[in-house]
Amino acid sequence: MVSRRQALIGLALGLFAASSASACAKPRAAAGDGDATKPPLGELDPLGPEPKYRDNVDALFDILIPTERDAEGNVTSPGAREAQVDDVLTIDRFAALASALGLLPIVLPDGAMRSLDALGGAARAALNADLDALAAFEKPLTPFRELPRASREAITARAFEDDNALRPVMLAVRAACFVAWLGAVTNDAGLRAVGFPAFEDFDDGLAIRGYPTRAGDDYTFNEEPPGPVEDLSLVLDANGDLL
Amino acid sequence: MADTYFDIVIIGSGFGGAVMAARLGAWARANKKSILVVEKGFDHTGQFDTDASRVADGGARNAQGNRFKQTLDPRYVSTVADLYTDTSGAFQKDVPSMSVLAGKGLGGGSNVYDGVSLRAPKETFEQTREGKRLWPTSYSRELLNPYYVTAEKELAVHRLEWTDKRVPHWQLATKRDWVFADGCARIGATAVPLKLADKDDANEGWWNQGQRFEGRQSLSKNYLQLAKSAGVAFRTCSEVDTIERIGSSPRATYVLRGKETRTHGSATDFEIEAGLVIVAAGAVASTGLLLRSRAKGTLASALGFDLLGKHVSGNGDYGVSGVVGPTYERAVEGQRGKPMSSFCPSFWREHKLILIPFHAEPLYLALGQPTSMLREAKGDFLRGGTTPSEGERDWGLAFKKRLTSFTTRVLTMGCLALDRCEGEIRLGTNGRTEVAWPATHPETEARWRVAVDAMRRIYESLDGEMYLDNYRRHGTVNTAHPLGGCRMASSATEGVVDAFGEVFGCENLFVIDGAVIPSALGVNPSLTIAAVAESIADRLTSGIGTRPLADRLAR
Repeated sequence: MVSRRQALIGLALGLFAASSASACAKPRAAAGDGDATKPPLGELDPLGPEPKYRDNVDALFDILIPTERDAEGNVTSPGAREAQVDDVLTIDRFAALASALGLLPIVLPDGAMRSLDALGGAARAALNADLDALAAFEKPLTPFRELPRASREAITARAFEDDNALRPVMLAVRAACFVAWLGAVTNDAGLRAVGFPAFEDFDDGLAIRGYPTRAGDDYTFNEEPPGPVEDLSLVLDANGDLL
Repeated sequence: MADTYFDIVIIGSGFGGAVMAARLGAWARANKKSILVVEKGFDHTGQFDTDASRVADGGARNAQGNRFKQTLDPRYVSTVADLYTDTSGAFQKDVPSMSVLAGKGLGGGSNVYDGVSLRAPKETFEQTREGKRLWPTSYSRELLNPYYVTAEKELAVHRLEWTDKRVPHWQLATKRDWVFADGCARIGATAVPLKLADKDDANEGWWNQGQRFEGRQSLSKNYLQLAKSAGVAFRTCSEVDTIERIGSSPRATYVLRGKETRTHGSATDFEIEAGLVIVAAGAVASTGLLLRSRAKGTLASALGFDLLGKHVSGNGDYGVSGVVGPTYERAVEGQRGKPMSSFCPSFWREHKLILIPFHAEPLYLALGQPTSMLREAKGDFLRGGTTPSEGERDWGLAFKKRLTSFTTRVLTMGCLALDRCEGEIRLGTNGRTEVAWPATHPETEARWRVAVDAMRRIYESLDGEMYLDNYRRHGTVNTAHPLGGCRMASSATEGVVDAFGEVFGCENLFVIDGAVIPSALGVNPSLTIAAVAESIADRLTSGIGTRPLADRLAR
């Protein structure tokens, strides 16, 4: 019996190359991917220069919800890393939480769910190793985090397509990225990135008591909606209940 | 041998169980009787830090330089998960079934409800099938009205308004509802503000994650407090697996067997003996408990149960999603404000349905069921290329850009209608409770068609587009309002329990929650469940129409 990890390492070393040809076929080029490290002449790379990643999972965050930067490296649109996805991964039983909240598109078997309990620890370490194993197909002896963006995107796509082993982990990490980014666990960076106003700003006095302090932040119009209004006297009583 | 004995054991703490605990608790204190509430989930009371001063003063500044703390903060988030039931046991892909969202934890459904508190209309109680009234004759809107008043008082139900001329500002409907009302007016309908179990709401949103500044009146703020102050005992993290009847009437007692679970899965068995049992675990769980007890033979001799699990309603729930035009951008923000604060009653008289707009939290647009449905959807649903095409990635820069392009224009809405109780609760092969929905009755289908058509026209009138109307995918009906399974009726040939919730042929075993509601209500059911429980508690304690509690518990 070959374990999942042995298989991945084996694949990386080419030991199972023939039998697993379809599983580890050369990744499909994403539309317009090209070589992400060198944008086509005349085009400005919207993602800008990349930072130094802490580990492969950190680099994966930047693939799942990328940070956009200008040519000088200043963040123009925050991604999962700025939303501090690391904090989310340390939430106790995050995968179970995500599943309960309907944030994982599939119902994972209990065993798979348990293996995801330590997304901030052991499971993260395992994912780091798995990504390196997949990276070895692209460029031997090069860690995932040091590959060109296009290669990392291709590996990420393959990891999502993995039949059983890697897909649940990838889905959980993806969920963590979006929980951080749009769930605003630590900050509202993601919400602001998609166009919502700052959720709260204590310096500015916004919503410090839960109530808006600026007219524009009041989530009511405080006015009657436009008519015409039907005669609802045959439908509603004076309390607003259906008759 | 049971671990312990209580005169009354209430299983579950939602709108049925909490009301019974509060009202019977007061009676029990005066009559020196003991009551225990057994709850499957955790007691979250006080776990959400909603004190504004503590939030404002505490914590280091974050990357943005402020002390922004909202309720998906890790301090809260792991407990929030326990507020939801695991619906996986009730959903099987490609099998016609009903997917149920229900509450869990002390407070049951009140942990996840949106506070909508409308009284069920008169016609609800007068529905008939084959010439027979679905509700026992002791129930009508008129007869329930005094109990509705009591429940509304306890739950702090307020009617919202569009302007603050007559009400405090917190009592206003949101911008999202104003936009919905605008759309309704454009198709010749009218939207009005809802009645909500709400108090001093800051219109901040995040109801389901736990508000920072309160608002939603969950049961821990009212009925459960009354019960606790009356001396009712609570046992949380304890799931009753079976009920066994011991002895025979009038000396019969019940033994409840189950498991008490603590964090990370360790569990211990328990047995509790009771003189009187009230099952109030919610429509699906209460019915499942009786089904399990019947299957294991612990209640077999006492019950006919021919109709156990039958006549299950989804309350006609049918939701759709769409976008409104750019004019309304940021007026329909998903996470802000009260999650529901208006409804359109214009279709009630002719079609027996109401329309309600509700919150669409951004996170769910990226990860939740709507997005997975979007991925499965075919065709051009959104203008401007906002729909992921088949096989397209739901991560990466392109997906991020797409989310940015339409998130602030998403409006979700749904209908509640009088369906025909087409569902059935049963035990699956794995022993878990399943909710089947074998076929939708043509009358229900017709109502949904009217509702979907109206909602489509509302989107279009707002220069938007409905992009998702296949809420019922794979033959699955989705509901947050399961009703029935232990239908109340005038006789054992028509239902499982009588008008007082007492199981036919099984003295002192009651079901009092959504499971006994014998029809769809056409409005959100929490207030009606509470009013029905109030009326039963009143009759049990006073002995009007049934044996009084004092007689029932004489040993």
